[in-house]
Amino acid sequence: MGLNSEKKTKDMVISGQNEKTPSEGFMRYFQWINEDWLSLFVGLIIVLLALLGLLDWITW
Amino acid sequence: MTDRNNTLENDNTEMKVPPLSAKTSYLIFIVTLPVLILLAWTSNFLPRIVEPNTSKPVIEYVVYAVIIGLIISNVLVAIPASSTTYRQFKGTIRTELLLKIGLVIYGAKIGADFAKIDVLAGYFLAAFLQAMLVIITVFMVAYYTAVKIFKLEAKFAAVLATAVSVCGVSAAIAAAGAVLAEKKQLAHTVTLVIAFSLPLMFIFPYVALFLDFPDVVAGAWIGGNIDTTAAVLAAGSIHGETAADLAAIVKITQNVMIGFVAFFLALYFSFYEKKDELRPSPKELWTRFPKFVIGFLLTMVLALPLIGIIPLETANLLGNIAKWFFAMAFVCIGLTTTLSDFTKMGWKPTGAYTVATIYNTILTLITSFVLFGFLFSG
Repeated sequence: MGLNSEKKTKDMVISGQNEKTPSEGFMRYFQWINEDWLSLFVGLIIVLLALLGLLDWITW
Repeated sequence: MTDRNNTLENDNTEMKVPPLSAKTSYLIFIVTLPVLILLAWTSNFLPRIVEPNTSKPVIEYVVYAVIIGLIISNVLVAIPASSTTYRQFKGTIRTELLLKIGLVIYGAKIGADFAKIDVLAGYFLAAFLQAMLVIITVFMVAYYTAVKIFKLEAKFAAVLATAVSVCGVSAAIAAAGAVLAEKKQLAHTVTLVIAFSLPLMFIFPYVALFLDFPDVVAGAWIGGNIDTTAAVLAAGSIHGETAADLAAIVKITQNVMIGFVAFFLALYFSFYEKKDELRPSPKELWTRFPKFVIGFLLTMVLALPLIGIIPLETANLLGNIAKWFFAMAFVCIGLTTTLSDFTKMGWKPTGAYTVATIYNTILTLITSFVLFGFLFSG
C-alpha cells in the first residue's frame, strides 16, 4: 500500500500532475481543472465577449 | 492547480516559507489583479514617453514590464520587513496562466494578419518561400547550435531558435508556452531579441545602401532578419519606401507561421518529454500536450479572412487585449526573477543567438537576391 502510494506520487510528480490536485475546501470539486484548460476557457470566453461587442472599450 | 515544476509557472524552490493553499493562492491572485493591471498599463505608457514620435516603439512594452517587476521584487526582497511576505506572495503569481490566456486571444490577431498577405502584389510567393526556408533552416541551425555546441537545455534552445527564426518576442512567448520553458529563459530570450534588434535596425539599411542593393532585395533582407516588427519597419524606413513595404511583407509572412511552429513544438516536446521513453501512449501524449495551443489555433482559424467568423476589427481588438495579458505576464516574470537568474546563464545563450543571427543574415541575403532580385524580380 505504502509502496504503491509512493510510486503513484512519484509518477504524478514526473508527469507534472502533483500540484493539480488541490486537497482542501471547494477546490476539491474542481480537480479536473488545470491552468492549461483554464487558460483555454478564459481565452475563448474573452473572444466570445469581444465578438458580442462587450470589450470594445479596451485599448492598448 | 499549478502546472509542472520548473516551468514558466511559479517555482517554489527558493522559498523558505510554507506555500499557500491553492484556494488562498488563487484568491490573492484575483485580489492583486488590479495592481497587476496598473503595472501593465505603466509598461504600455513608458514607451510613449521614451519614444514619443513613433506608434511602434523599438524597445517594446515587455522590456519595461520585466524591469518594473524586477525593481519591485528586488526592493521587496531588500527590505527585511517585506521579504517574507514577498516570498509567500511569489507563490501566488500566475505567469503561465496569463501568458496562455494571452496566446489563445492572440491567435485571432495572427489569423487576421493573413488578410494583409492578400495585398502582396507579385511578391507573395517569394516571401512565402523565403519564410519557409528561413524558419526551417534557421530554426534547425539555432536549435542544434544551442543544444550541441552551447549545451543549453532543449526547451531554452527551442525558445531561442523560434525567436530568431520566426519573429522575435511574440514567437518566443508562443514557443515558451508550447514547450513549457522556464520563465527566466523566456525573459532572457526577449532581452536578446531586443538587444540584437537595436543595432541591427541601423546596420542593415545602411549596409544595404552602402552596397547599393536593389530596394526589394534590401527590404526582403531586412524583413527576414531583424526580429522585432517595430525594428523591421524602422530599418525599412531608413532605407526607403519600397524597402519598408517589402520588409513588412516578408515579416508578416514569417509572423503568421507562429501558430504552426507552436503546434509542432508542443507536439514534439509532448512526445519526447521523457528521454528514456521511445513512444508514449496517445493518452499520455494528450495529457502532456499544452491545451491552450488548441485555443490558439482555433482563434487563428476563426479569424482567417476565408473563414471570417472573427471579423478583422474584433481580431485587432483581441490583439490589443492579448498585449494586456502579455504585459501582466512579463511584470510577473520580473516579480519572480532575480538579476542573478540572468547572470547565472552566462554568455552561452548570447553565443547561440549570435551564431543563429549570423547564419540568418547570410541565408536571407542569398535568398533575397535569388528570390526577390532574380526569380521573382518581374
